[in-house]
Formats: sequence, C-alpha cells, structure tokens
Amino acid sequence: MFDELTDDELFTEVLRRRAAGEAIGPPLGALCERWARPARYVVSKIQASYGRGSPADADELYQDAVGKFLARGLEQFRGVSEQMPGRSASPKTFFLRIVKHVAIDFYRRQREDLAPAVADPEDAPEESPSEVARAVDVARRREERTEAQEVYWQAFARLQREHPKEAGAWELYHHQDVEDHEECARRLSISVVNSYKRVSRAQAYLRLYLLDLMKEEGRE
Amino acid sequence: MTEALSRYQALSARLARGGDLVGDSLEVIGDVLRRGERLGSQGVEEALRSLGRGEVEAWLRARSSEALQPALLRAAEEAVEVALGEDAAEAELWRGSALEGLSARDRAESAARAMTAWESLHGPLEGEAARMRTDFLEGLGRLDDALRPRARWFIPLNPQRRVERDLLDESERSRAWWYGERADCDDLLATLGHRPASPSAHLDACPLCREDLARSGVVEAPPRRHLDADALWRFDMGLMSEEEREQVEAHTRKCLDCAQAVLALEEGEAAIEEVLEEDELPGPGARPSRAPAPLRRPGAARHPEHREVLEERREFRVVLVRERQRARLLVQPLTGRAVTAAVFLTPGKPSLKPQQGPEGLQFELGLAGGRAAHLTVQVGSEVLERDFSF
Repeated sequence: MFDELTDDELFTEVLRRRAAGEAIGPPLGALCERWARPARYVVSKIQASYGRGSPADADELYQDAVGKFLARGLEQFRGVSEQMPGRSASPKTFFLRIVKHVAIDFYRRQREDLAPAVADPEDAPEESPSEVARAVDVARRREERTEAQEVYWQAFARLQREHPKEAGAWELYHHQDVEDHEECARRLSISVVNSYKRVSRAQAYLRLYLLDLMKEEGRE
Repeated sequence: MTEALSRYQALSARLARGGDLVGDSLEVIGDVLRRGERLGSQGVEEALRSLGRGEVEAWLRARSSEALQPALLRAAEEAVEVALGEDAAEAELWRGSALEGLSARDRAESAARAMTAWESLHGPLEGEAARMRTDFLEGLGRLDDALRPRARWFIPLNPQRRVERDLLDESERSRAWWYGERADCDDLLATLGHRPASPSAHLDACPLCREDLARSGVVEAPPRRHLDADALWRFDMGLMSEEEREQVEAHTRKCLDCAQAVLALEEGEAAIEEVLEEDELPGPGARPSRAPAPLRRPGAARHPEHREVLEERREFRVVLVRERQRARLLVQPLTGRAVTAAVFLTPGKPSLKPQQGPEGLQFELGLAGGRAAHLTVQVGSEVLERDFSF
C-alpha cells in the first residue's frame, strides 16, 4: 500500500502517524524493507574494513539498526537535522548512518572474540587440546583485564569526586594521551611542577582506591 | 616513645593515687590494663572496684561504635595527606588529627577491656546494659572487619604507630590493627605515586607490599579513554567541539582500535554516498524522491550514465549501465530469493567475476562499443539465457 510513495513521503507519513498517536509500524516497516539492500551493502563495507563478518552478521546488524531507528532514531534524526542541517540530509541517509554505527560498534566489541572468518565450516581445523587450553587461558586473562579496568574506572570516578584537580590532571595526562607535563600545565593553566605533583598524587590515590575496591568486591 | 610513655605513666599514676576518673574511667583503666607489662597494675583493681554499675551503664549509653567509622575514615584521608602534602606545617596538622582518630579507636578498645575486667569483679551486666555491651562489641568487630584491610592508608603515621604498638602488651598487639597493621611498610606509600627504579629492601621482602603494588599495577599503564559508540556518533555527526575533535585526533594517533573505527566510519560513509548516488541516477532502478540532494564529498563528481533495462522478471531485473566508454551489467534481485548470474564475454572462457553492490550483482564489462556477451541468470528453477550487446 506504500509502493507509490517516495522515501520522504513515507517518512512524512510515519511522522504524521506518530504525531496523531497512530501505529507507525506499517509505513516504517515498508521504509526499512526498502532500505534493506543498501543497508547490507554498507554493512559489507564495514565488514571489509574490519576484515571479518558474515551474511548472517549482516542480517543481525540490519535488524539491530531497524530496532535502533524505531527506538530513538526518529527523535535523533530530528535533533541532528536541527543541529546540523544537511548532515542527516534524508531519513534514508540517517538510517544508513545508524546501520554504519551499529556495524562498527559490533565489530569493535567483537574484535578480540572473533577469529578471522572461515569460508567453509568444513575447512575449519579441529583444535588440539593445547590450543583449547591456550584459548581458555587467553579468555581468562581477557576477563581479568576487563574486570581490572572496570575497577579502575570506579576508582577514577572516586578520584573525580574526592580530588577533582588531581583527576583533571590525570585525565589529561593519561586518558587523553597528552603525556607531557608542559602541555598539561599549559592546558590547566598551572605550573609544570604542579602538573607533575597532581599526576603523582592522583596515582597514589588511585592505587589506594583500587585496593579498597578490590577488597570490597571480594577480588583479593 | 618517651612522650607517649609519659602520657600513659601519668594515667597510671592517676589510678595509683585513686583520683577522680569521672567520664573516662573505663578508658583510663583499660589503657593501663593493656600496657601492664610497661606500667604495672598499681591502682587498677581499686579503680575497678570503686566503679559503680550505674557509671558503666552510663558510659555504654553515651558511646556508639558506629560513630568511630567516619572518624577513622577521615583519619585515613588525613594520614595520606601527611605523605602527599606539600607543606611541612600542614603535614603536622594532618598528622595530629589523624592520630586522634586512631587514638579514639584505641580508647574504645581500652573501655571494652576494662568492662570485661569490671564484670569479672562485679558480675556480668544484665538486661539492657548487657545488650548495649554486646552491641558495642559487635559494632567494634564490624568496624575492624571493614577498616583493617585499609591499614595501608595509615602508613604515613608509622613512626607514631610503632611507638604505640610497642607500648602495648604483647597479647594486645595483634588486635590493635590501627597501630600494628602495616606498621613497618613505610616505603609503600612513597612508592604509590612513583615506582622507584629499584625497590627498597622492604618492598622486595614484604609480601603485602608486593601484592599491593601488583594488584594496583593497572595505574602504571592506565586504560585509555577510547571513543565509545556515543562519542563516535557525535564525531561522525559533527556534533563535537573543536577541542573534542582535537582530542579524538590525538587519541587516534596512538590508539589503533579507535583509528580503525574512524577509518571504518569513512569507508562506511563512502558506501552510503555510493548508495545515494545510485538513487540519484535516472533509471528504472531508481526510486523517485523529492528529497534534497545529499551532501557529496569534494571530488566525488558523478559521470553521466545511461541505463537500459535488458530484462525484467518477477524475481529480478537486468540493467545495462553505460558510463563514458565503459559498461557494467546489474542483476537486481526484486524479492528476497537468492539470484545467481554469470556473464561470458568469450565462449568457453570463465564467467566475469561478479561483485556484490548496493543494487545487487554487478559485472564490469570493460570498454563498451559493439561488443557482445552471454548472460545466464538463475533463481530457483527459473533460468534466463540470453545474449546482449554493449
């Protein structure tokens, strides 16, 4: 029933129905169906960029993107259109950008977990016991690293609350990759000596907070 | 040692004189009891015998072990400032205040000890008083469980803590974590801010210090603040401030993962532009749209194309696209069914290699102009075979 409408007309219909409190599923579904092929093309380019992925991933990512577009895309589209006229250009462009981001996010998160794609599962070699043990060890180390980083960010949040000046210097020096006290001092409008002291104090407090948190969370 | 010892000797002398101990009787008696090896026990029993049940109960009503927790937490922060502070006079102020926090915990311990001694002389407390005593002791236990593992915070007070520890009777020392725990780990706190090139003999030998340094090692190579999904979106949409964009650039110079994400953004954007350019082309495959022309990157100029539909079936459409002197063939699926196709330029030679594009399968035919090819398309059991010129 929507075949005769252009993308923009269909999108306008979605917005009209939404404003009127009517069901938006049918026109939005028709729009997303219309955009399925270009969306998969965009996903394939992201897959190529990361050197991994499969058609099954592409289907899943497309569904995720549709979900995001339905959940918050309409409001976000309006917001971006108002803030950056031209950047979102059309609902289709906006949807494809959501697809792009969903795919990048997926492959970034999966980067360490996914092995390079094997064309044919039959070709996949069986893993030897030592390889399995190594994989388990790698997974355990990854989990420990992730946990350590979680505690680290909690400790840093406490530093921000209790010693904001030290946290600011630490943030600049380490998290924002400045790693130069002269540059830190310039950006914070303090002396180089003070920059050095703040970073040093931040490190001492962070260690103490980390050790406290590890105890509280039973990681000792 | 002398100053602290003199203080306790003065308390012991008060007991021996049988002086008035109003208010802090239990604490003073306990202070002397817990240091009996040094101070002796003169006057202790007399003081305990003269202490009435009402006075003990009044002490219990006025004290709360819960109130000690904030005092000790504050003392911990103050103690660390003794080591990390810049000004010596200020450091002394922090030291005095922090030691007062530890002293408060120690006096509570003395009162508990004196109460036990008092009960052995007068008989156990009963009823509400017994409940208050139990609550008080259990509260101290909870406090110690929570704060004993944080004893490292008090390391900057170690010279004073060691003196206090050494004045206690041997049997009291292990309980008095506020004076004894980590009392010899002086090198640790200086090391927390800067790891020295070569660790001290203590750091080498002390398993607790080694463990603390190992467990908190993540701060020596702190995780970077990566571009998360939200930041990447704001970066892509141009919603970041100039300063934020500079931070992204600085970060991506050093972080491979985020640099890859930004590269993927660009490649994805190029794909979107390709898709949008296809939309703009007049032809049977393009949908009419009244949308404004999308932004195109400089240099992405489009060449005029000519499209010709060679075949249109229910399941697919075949389009010949001519652009400048070159030609390509599109096989566009029109339903969800899988479409396979082959294009043969020369009989007996392999098919051209298809590419998956935004509009379906695409065959690059090369230079156009009076050339012929053979096309095969299959969808399920339906097969199209035909020749075409380009």
